[in-house]
Amino acid sequence: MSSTEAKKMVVLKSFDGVTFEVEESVAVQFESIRHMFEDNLAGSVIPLSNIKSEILSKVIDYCKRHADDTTDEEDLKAFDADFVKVEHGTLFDIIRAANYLNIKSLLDLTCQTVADMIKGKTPAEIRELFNISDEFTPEEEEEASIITRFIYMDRYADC
Amino acid sequence: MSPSQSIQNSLPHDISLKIASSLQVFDVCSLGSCSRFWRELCGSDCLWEALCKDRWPARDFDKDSSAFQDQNFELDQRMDSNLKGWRELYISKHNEMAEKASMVMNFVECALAYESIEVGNYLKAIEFLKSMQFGFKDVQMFFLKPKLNVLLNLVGLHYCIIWLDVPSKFVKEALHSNKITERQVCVQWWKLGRWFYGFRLRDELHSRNASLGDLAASNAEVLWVLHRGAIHEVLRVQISAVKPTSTSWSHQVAQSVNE
Repeated sequence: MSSTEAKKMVVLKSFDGVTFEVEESVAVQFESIRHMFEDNLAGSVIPLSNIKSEILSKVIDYCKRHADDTTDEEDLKAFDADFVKVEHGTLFDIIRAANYLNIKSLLDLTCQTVADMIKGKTPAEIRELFNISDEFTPEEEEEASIITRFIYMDRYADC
Repeated sequence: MSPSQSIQNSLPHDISLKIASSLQVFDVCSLGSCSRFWRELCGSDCLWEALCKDRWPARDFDKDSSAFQDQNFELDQRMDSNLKGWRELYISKHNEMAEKASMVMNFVECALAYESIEVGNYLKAIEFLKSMQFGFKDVQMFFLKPKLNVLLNLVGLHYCIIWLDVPSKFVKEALHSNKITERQVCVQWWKLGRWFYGFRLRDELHSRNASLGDLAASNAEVLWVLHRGAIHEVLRVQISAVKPTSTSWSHQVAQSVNE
């Protein structure tokens, strides 16, 4: 009996209707829905109405890898590094999914990835990177430059 | 979601804030100059509170902010903008430290003779840093810059290792990120000649070249000589830049002070 207990499955249903069967040991990482399958609701389908199947499968992949005790730390790091090499749109989707499901380690990983992209870039480069349209009026640009002056004083003083 | 959708529309506010809060001050400012959304977000008090406490961990900010209130009027006029709270505090502290840093740089410049400095003045410069409560981040920002004279780099480095007790790993990282690991200094010291069967031998001259990286890693002898100064049997200690790097540095210092 105990062996079947250990392999208890949870069924998740994505926004576009695809169902995923996940071992409970993996699904426990989904903090925000944990109570749903822990309240003896085993077998019933848990709908995740705002996560696409494509993203959900990635998130499940991530959690499977991280639930596996046999993976050593180096492999896991390599996996993480590879995992975040996706298009920006996908990355943001994963962030939102991780936020919704409250998977802290995945949220930290993906947010750090975005932060690393921003590091060392000029405002113009960041705008281009994330496709931010330049919404400033000339007056606002002037105001922003007051802060910028303070900052670039150091960074570019020696140029 | 289309891939062209921009970052602020696709992420919840608290996530954007989480991202911004893992950035360093320069990056926060760059991000804050990107759009209205990011300007608003990057001006958040909680972000700047963390930046303040991260940069000046030892400071008692409650006391500082009350002292700071008194200067508000003057600052408002000077900044001519709607800066407020922690960001304003950060900027005013930063400027204060920048002024102090340029005082120390001036002092070192004046103490220089033929591109080298006597250990007494060198140690005095380090004393100044200590009395002005420079933190590791302040030193990185103002003293560990590649365009400064290497002796100023050395003052900052020495201060971090001896007075701030910054672990060698972090010091090395800081040198590396500022690309000054390879810069070299030359330390020369004269020791009083020993007595030998009733005669005094000639004074001994010692000379060591070391890169800043060496000093951060393990070169205890040179740091010890510098730290001890000219005392007892040591008649004189002189520190200079190793040649090729020392191009008209007094000009450079004058420049950075003017900025």
